[in-house]
Amino acid sequence: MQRTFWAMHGQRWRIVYQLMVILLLGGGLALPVLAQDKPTGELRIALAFLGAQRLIPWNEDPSGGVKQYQLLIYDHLVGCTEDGQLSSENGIAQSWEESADKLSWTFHLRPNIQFHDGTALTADDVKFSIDSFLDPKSIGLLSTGRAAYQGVEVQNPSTVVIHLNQPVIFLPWNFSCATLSDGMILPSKYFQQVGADAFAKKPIGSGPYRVVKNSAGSLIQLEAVERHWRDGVPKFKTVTFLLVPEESTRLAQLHTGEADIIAVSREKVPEVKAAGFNVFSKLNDQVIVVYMQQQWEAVPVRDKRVRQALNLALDKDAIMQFVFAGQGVPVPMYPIGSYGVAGGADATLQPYPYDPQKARQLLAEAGYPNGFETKIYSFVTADLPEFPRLTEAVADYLGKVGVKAKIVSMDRAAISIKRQARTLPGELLPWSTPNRSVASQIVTLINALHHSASQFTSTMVPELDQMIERALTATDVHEVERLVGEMHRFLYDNAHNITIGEIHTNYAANKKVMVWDLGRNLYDNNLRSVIRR
Amino acid sequence: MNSTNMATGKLVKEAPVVRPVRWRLAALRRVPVVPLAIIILMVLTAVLADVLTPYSPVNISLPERLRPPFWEQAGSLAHPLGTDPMGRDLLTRLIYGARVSLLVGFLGLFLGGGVGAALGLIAGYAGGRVDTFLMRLTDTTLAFPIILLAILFVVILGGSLMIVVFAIALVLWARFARVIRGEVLSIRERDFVAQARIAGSSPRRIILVHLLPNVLNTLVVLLSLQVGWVIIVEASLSFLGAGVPPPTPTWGSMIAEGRNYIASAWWVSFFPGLAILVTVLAFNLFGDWLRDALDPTLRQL
Amino acid sequence: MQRYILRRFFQSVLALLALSMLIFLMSRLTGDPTMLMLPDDASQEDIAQLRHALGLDQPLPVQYWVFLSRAVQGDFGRSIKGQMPVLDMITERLPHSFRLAAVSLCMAVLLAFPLGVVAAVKKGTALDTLANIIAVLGQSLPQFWVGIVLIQIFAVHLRWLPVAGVGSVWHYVLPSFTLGWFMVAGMMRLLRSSMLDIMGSEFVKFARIKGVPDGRVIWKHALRNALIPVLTFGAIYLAGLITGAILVETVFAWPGLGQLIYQGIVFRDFPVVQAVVLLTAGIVISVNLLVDIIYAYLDPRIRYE
Repeated sequence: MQRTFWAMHGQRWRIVYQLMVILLLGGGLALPVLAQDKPTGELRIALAFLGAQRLIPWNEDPSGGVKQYQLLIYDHLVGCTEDGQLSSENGIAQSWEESADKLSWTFHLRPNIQFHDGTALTADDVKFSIDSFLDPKSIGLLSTGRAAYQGVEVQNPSTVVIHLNQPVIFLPWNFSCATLSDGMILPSKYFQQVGADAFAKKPIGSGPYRVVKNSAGSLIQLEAVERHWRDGVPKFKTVTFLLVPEESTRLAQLHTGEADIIAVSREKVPEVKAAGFNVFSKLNDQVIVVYMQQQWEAVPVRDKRVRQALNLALDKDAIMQFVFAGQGVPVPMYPIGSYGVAGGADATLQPYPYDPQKARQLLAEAGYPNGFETKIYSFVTADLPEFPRLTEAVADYLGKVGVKAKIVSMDRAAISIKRQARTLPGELLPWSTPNRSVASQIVTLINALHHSASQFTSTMVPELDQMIERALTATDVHEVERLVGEMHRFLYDNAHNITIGEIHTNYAANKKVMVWDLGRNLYDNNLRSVIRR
Repeated sequence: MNSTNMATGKLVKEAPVVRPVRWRLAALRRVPVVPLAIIILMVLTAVLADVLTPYSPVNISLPERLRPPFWEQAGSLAHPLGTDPMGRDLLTRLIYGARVSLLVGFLGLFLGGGVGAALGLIAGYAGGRVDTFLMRLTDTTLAFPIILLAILFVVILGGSLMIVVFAIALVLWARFARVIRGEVLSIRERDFVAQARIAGSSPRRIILVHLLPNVLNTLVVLLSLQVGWVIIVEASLSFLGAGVPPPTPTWGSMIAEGRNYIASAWWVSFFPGLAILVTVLAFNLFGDWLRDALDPTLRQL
Repeated sequence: MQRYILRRFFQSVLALLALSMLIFLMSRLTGDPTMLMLPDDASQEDIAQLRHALGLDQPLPVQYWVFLSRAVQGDFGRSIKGQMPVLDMITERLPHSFRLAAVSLCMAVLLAFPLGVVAAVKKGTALDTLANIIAVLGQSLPQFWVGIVLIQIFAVHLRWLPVAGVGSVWHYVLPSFTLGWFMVAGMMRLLRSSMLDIMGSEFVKFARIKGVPDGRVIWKHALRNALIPVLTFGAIYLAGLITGAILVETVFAWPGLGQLIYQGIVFRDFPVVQAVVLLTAGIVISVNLLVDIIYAYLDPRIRYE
């Protein structure tokens, strides 16, 4: 009679069998724990705009969503908090100091940062990158004036010194993620070896994700690194940015799961929420204005009373509610929004109220009892689809106080030419700008918009010019912030802009993203927190 | 008609020669009543817009925005087809939109068609260098994607009703020129033209008196077939932000405006879409019948 | 014959040159791209510096000469917006545009075929009218609207097809249908009338008398001969489809040339606009030239015009 295998060798094999079971069980339990340390899954983000997809930060303007994916690929020299402040923990530099004569800044680099190809990030890379940003052909760092910079010196592999021709008190801000893409560090040896075009095809950075595929006009696909010095082990294995210009298509993609995060317009937010998706808002992201062009000419808006009347004629709350779907609040005076308080803006100012009667009264006092005629321009941009409606609403309100504004449709580029050529005397132009929290950024913006010598200025007021110049050359941060407050009050009292308010920017997401604080950094929505565990 | 005999200097009476328009009886029996009725209805609506509705098509009433049509729960007969995102009555905007859309269509057609036909006549009759030059010009124009040419035009000069008309005409003339030239080529060797030439008629006279009436068939058919196309192009331009600017209502811009509300406020783009569909279909079917009635050899159109 | 070809070729080159000059002038007249590239707070010096670096402050004839001399060598310059070589940008998107155009053409033929045959065979009946209406419908609706509605029905509600982008064979279905439907009316009409002609011809009548079954008559003679004008029609449309599909590309997020040139116009990216326009014009003019030459070969009278 044949005895069974187990019967013959039973005892020994039973032990082996039991051991195997224990091992497997233990391994099985351990596996999820181990797996927690690996990036999994894919995150697909559908946006209306991906820019030129050049992936070389000094070749491209970071606005409109470009900085979002750049931030996953590259790291800045100086780090930033979600709030828009500088941080010595999030950037490549772990500390920095200004010299006593204010003509140089020394940055001490964090050790053990690697690029995607495994090479170490050293001071040479920092010098190369900053030099590239300072190059006249680059886009960026222009607003602070490269004339102030003398050069970049490598003291040792972990120390960089930036030498200046004149003090630049906000210098660390200029190279931090709180502002632009300036300060992103690229690998010097690899870049110079393969040249710009080849680099653009296979970029290498030190960020939590590396570029796998860059399909111009279609998508950018990123893959997680094993472990990032700041963000740890990224949550998603693949992050794909999709270019989908049409909103109805993006919404369809969210419904079918083809996209996990989409850029969603303000008026669609209630509908998307009702459909069960999460909506995350960057509150007060953009400040909306209607410019009054060329206020120095012999036009009605030359008179302060007329300008104030135009501000009083608009029901900003109604505009916020009906044009911007309630996704915003009025603010006192453009270009400063609520973020500006951190930069010295005057927090006591209140938005101009809705008072059409007073508006008519002021107009009559200024000599326009029957109002006057002017033009208001209308154009279309992807991230502000409400603009044509805003123009209509503003024209409607102005019409009610006697100001007949004829709506002229024109595209943005053509309008820019007319602005520069100064062929829009006294005419009205809706525009927007991101909310800024850094004082130096606010000053350069006001400089560009209101200094007589600036080509896009709408005012020529010597008093204002002087304030701007003092702010640009001040050597103390607090002095600059004080001047910001002064200029804020000046613009407000003289009603140099028809201010509407500040509006939110929204993203809708499915269950893959349950928590997301979009932060307050310029041109950024803090995707890095989404990919962090 | 009289003309001077160049050889003898005497006044000569010309025999009237006009090729009779061939109305085929069979086609006449099948007059497309429905399309014709729709066209007439649309034109009447466009003309009588001011009388037909108490609302203004442009005045904004923000609290009334996005009301549904009357048969839905939140709707009312005050706004039978609902309101648009700015609170304006949809039916009113549809009615005024008929005026603008048809105006753009007809103006663009007559401008483009007129210039195109004129150039086609000249090219076909003159031949030689003039013909070659004009044909290369049409080649170049047709080489351009239509929409982009219109956008470029609008972008340079800003948007307005007349600019959109010009952009459309700029694109349209080449097609007309080509077709009319083709027709002229086949006619100009005919006897009656040769006779006129021998009799000493000036080229201008020959073109106007002899050639034009005979290409009229083709011209009319082409015009009717292109109406729909023009209305659609206007809608496409509005979609891209290069159409007739707000607050003027056009069916095209209403559809473009409503495309974001397809799931939530479907009526905003459904009714203008229906209007375009019905009108363009009517014109196309009518044009088809017209072509069959006038001259079925024009089937290449 | 050779002289004819040479003459036409020379005229085509001239046309191309004229077009390039026209586009060059037009785009530069429309505005300065540097103002669109820099943020609001850029100063006057920054803008001037960038213009100089990009070579935009040279006199126009100089700029044109630079463009032309480089273009004939295959260097179409760099995109102003992203500093990328324009040729690379075009070669990346051309395959997508071409494939979509080709599939749309096939889709149009697929749709026009049954409609045209039915209309011809059942001429005068309600089926004829119905076929006509279905075909004309494609020209009576704005393309973007058709695309958006199709997405809602087939992608969102039925989940049969993907929403947008490229990736699989299924991604072609909705965009190509949207594009193709537009051409169906013209094709159908051609097919129908060509078939009617042939079916009424002596040859076919004779075959019928001999007792050859109707189906074979239709298939072997009518259809095949009717195909030629339809295909010519399609070939001519193909060129236009490659860059003229901007509406469909926008709705379906298709990375094609139409989107490229549209962005170029909006951002005043002259090198991109010039290059794409020249490319399209080149294709269309070449196709025209080829067709003209073939016709001239077939019909000697035309050569002497």
